[in-house]
Amino acid sequence: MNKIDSSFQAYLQSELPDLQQDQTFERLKFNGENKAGLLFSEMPFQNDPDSKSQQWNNYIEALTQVATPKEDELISLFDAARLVFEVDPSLFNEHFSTIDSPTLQSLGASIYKHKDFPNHCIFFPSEDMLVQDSNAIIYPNRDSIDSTEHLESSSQYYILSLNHHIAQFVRIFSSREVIHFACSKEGLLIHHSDLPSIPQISNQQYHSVQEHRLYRSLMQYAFQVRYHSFQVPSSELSSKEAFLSQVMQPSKVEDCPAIYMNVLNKLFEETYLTLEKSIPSNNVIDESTIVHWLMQRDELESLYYLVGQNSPDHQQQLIDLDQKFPTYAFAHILPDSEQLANAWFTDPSNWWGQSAAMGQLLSQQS
Amino acid sequence: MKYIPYTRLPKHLGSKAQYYQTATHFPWCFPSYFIPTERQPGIAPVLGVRFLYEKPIPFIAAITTQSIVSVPPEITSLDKLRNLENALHTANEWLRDHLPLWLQQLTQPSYNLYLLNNSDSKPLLSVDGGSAALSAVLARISELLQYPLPIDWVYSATVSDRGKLGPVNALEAKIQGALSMCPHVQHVVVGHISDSEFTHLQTTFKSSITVHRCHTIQEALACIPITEEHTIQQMIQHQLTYYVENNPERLTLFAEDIFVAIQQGWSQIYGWGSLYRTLVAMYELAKNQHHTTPKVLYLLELSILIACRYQSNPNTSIEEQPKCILHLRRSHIENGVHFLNIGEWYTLLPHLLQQLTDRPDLVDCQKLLLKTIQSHLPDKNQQWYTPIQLRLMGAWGRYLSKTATDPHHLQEAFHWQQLCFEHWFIQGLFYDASYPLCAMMYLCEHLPDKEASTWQCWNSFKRKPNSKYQTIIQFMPPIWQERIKLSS
Repeated sequence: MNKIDSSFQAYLQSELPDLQQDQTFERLKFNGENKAGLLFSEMPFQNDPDSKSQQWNNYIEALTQVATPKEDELISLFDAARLVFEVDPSLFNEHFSTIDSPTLQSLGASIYKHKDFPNHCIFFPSEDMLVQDSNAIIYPNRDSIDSTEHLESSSQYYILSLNHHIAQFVRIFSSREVIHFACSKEGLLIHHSDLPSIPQISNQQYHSVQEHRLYRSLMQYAFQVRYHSFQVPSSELSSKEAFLSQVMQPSKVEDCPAIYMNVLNKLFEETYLTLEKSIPSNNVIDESTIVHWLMQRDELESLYYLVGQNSPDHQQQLIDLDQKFPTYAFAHILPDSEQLANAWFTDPSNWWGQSAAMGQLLSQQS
Repeated sequence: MKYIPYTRLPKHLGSKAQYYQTATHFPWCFPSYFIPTERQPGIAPVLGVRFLYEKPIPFIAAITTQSIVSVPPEITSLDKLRNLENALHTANEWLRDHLPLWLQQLTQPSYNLYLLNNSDSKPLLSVDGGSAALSAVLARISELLQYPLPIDWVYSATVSDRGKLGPVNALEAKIQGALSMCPHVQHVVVGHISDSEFTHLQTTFKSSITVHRCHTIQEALACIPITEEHTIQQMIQHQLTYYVENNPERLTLFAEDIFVAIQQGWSQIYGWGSLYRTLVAMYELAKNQHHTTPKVLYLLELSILIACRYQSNPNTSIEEQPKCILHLRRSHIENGVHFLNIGEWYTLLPHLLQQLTDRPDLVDCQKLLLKTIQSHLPDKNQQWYTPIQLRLMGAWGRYLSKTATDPHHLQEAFHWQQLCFEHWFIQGLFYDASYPLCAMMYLCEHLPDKEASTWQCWNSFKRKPNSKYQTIIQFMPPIWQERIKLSS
C-alpha cells in the first residue's frame, strides 16, 4: 500500500472509529498528467536532503512552484469554470472532460477535469451535500468577496487541488452518508459510508427551521441536550456554564460523534451571523419574519448548549445579539408556537419565547 | 458505452453542462433542468423498435436536417437503410411540392438519424422503415420556421407521396417506449390507423398519453403546437403575415404562387381550412395596404372562393357548408381577361363552373358565368382537345349532371364525360381519365342503357399497365365497386 493510501486509511480510522468501515475506496487517476507527480522521478536522491546542496535547493524550489499553483493558472481555471458552468454550457466539451466515478454518480455528484489544468478538478456536490472546509479546496477570489457570495458560489462547485504531496482530506456530508476525499498528486481517493448515528437522549421532538436533514437531526439532538438540563434540580444549577459541565458528562449525555463537532460549530457560527444580519428594524410589518428570527434564536440557544463550553466568547456574543433586538417594537406579536412558549416556560431567561407564552396564556383564559 | 439514466441525472450546473450537447439533440429524454433555454430547431424525435427474439424493444432516435458537428459519446449516428431512404425521399418530395415559395430555401435538408444510449452488447447501427417520415417532415418545417418542436409530443407515421399519414408497426411498443424514456411526453401523433387499433391505443394509454390520429400532414400541422400560443399551422400564417407586411413584391409573389397551386388542387402545407383562413387574413392585410395592386386583390379573392369550395362537403346542405367572406361577382368575370392571360383565364374557368356546381349560393352572377362558359366550350366534334379544354368539358359535364332536370340533360352530361374520358385516355393521362370514368358510373344510375359502354371503358382502363386502377375504385359508386369485386 502506498503512502497516500495508508494515510487515508489511518485518517478514516481515526475519524470513523465506531463504524465497521469498508476499507475499500475508489481511486480516480488523472491520466498521469499531473506535473507534481513527475518531479519525484527527478528527485536528487544521490544527495542527503540535509546537505543543503544546490541541487536539493533547486528541487525544493521547483516543488514549491508546482505545489503552489501560479496565480495566472488559477485565474484562467476560475474563468473557464465560470464561463462553462455559469454562462455558456455549450463550451463544456471544449474545456472539460468528465471523470467517471461510480461512487459519485450513485451519490448524485460529479467531477470534471479541465484539459489544460490537470492539477485541479472541479467538484459538483449534489443538492443535499454539505462540503466542509479543507486545504484541498480553493475558492475563487476568496479574499475579495463577502461571505454570503462565497457560500452561494461554494454551494455550486468547488475546485479541488491535486498539487499536494501529502494527501489533503475533504469531508462531505449528505443526508445519509459521509464522503471523504484524499486529494494528492496521485489523484483522488474516494470513500463513503453511512452517517454515524446521532444519539437520542429523550423522545422530545423539535421542529427545526433548518432545511438540511443532517442539520435538523443535529438541532434535535442539541434541543434534547438543552432540555435535558431541566431534568436536573434547578437548585444544583447556578449558571449555564455549571450546567454544561454537568450535562456533558458521559453519565448524563451520550457524546455526539466527534465527526459532527465541526458541523455544529459551523452551524452555530452561520446561525449567529444570519441572526445578526437579519435583526429586524422597528418598522418591519411582516410578522412571519419576526417569528422566524425568534425561532432561529431558539435554535442558536440549543446549539450554544453543545458548543458553548469550548468557546467562552459565545456567551458574550449571545448577550450582544439579544441586546440589539428591538423587543419593545414587536411585543404585540404573539406567535402561535408551542416550542417558543415552552422555551420561556422552561427558562424565563429565554426572552424570545415570552410573547408566544403570553399568547398561549391569553388563549387559555379566553 | 454505458447506459446513462437520463431521467435521474444529478441536478447541478456541472451535470447540466456535461449533457448540454446531448440534451440539445434529445430534449425529449431529459428532465426540464437539462433542456437548454434556447432550443434548436430542425430536430424531431423518432420512435423506433428493434426486435430481440421477436420481442419488440423500443428506442428513441432523433432525426435532424443537418448533421451534428461534434457528436457526444453517448449518441450514435445510425445508417439509413433503403426503405427509410425511400420514405425520406418521398417526404422531402412532398415538401418540395407543397411548401409555399416564401418558405422554401435553396438548401436541401440532409436527414440524419441519431440514437441515444446504444447497447454495448448488441449495438444498433442502422434503421429501416418509413415510420420516421412524419418526424422528418416536422424537423424540416421546424428548421424553416426556426422554431423548435415541443418536448411533450412524439410522432410515428409514414408519409405517402400525396401527404397521407399511414400506420406503422409495433405502435403500442413504441408508445410504451416513449412513456418510459421521455419524461415530458403527453401526446403522440399517429397516422391513419384502423378504428379498432385507435380505440385500443386510447384505452391502453388513457391516463398517460393522448393519441392523435391524423390522416394527412396538414392535419398533423394543425394539431401540433410549436409555441404556447400557436400550432405549426398558425405559426406558418403568423410568419407569412410578417413576411408580406409592408412588402408589395412579396405579397404579389405570394398571391401568384398560391393562385397557381390552388388551381392545381393543392392546398400546399396549409390544408384547405387553414389555407382559407390564411387567405382571408392576407386579403384583409392587402386591402389595408395602399400599395396593393388590383391584380393581387383579384387573385386573392378568387383563391378565397376556390379554397372555400374545396373545404365544402357536396353531400351536405347549403346551410351546413362553410361560410365565405366573398361571393363571385360580375366584376370577377369581366376583369378576368384584364388580369390574366388567355391560358390562365382558360384554366380558371373550370373552377368557376365547379363553384356554380358545388356552391351556387356563392355565385351572384350565374347567368353571365354560364354564358361565358358556353362561349368557351369547344365543339363536340373536334378531333382532339387540349388538357385545358378537357378540364372545362369535365366541369361542364358535372354541372349538367348536378342541375339536370330531364333525361336529355343527363344524356348530354354523359356524352361530355365520355368525350373527356376518351381523350384523356388517348393521351395516356390515366389519372385524369379516372374522373370522367367515375362520373359516367354515377350517371349510369339514371341511364341504364349506358352501363355496357361504361363497363367497356372500365375494362379498357384497367388493362393499361400504369392506370393504377385499384386506387380509384374507392371513388366509384358502391354498386360499381361491388360489380368490379365480383368480376375479378
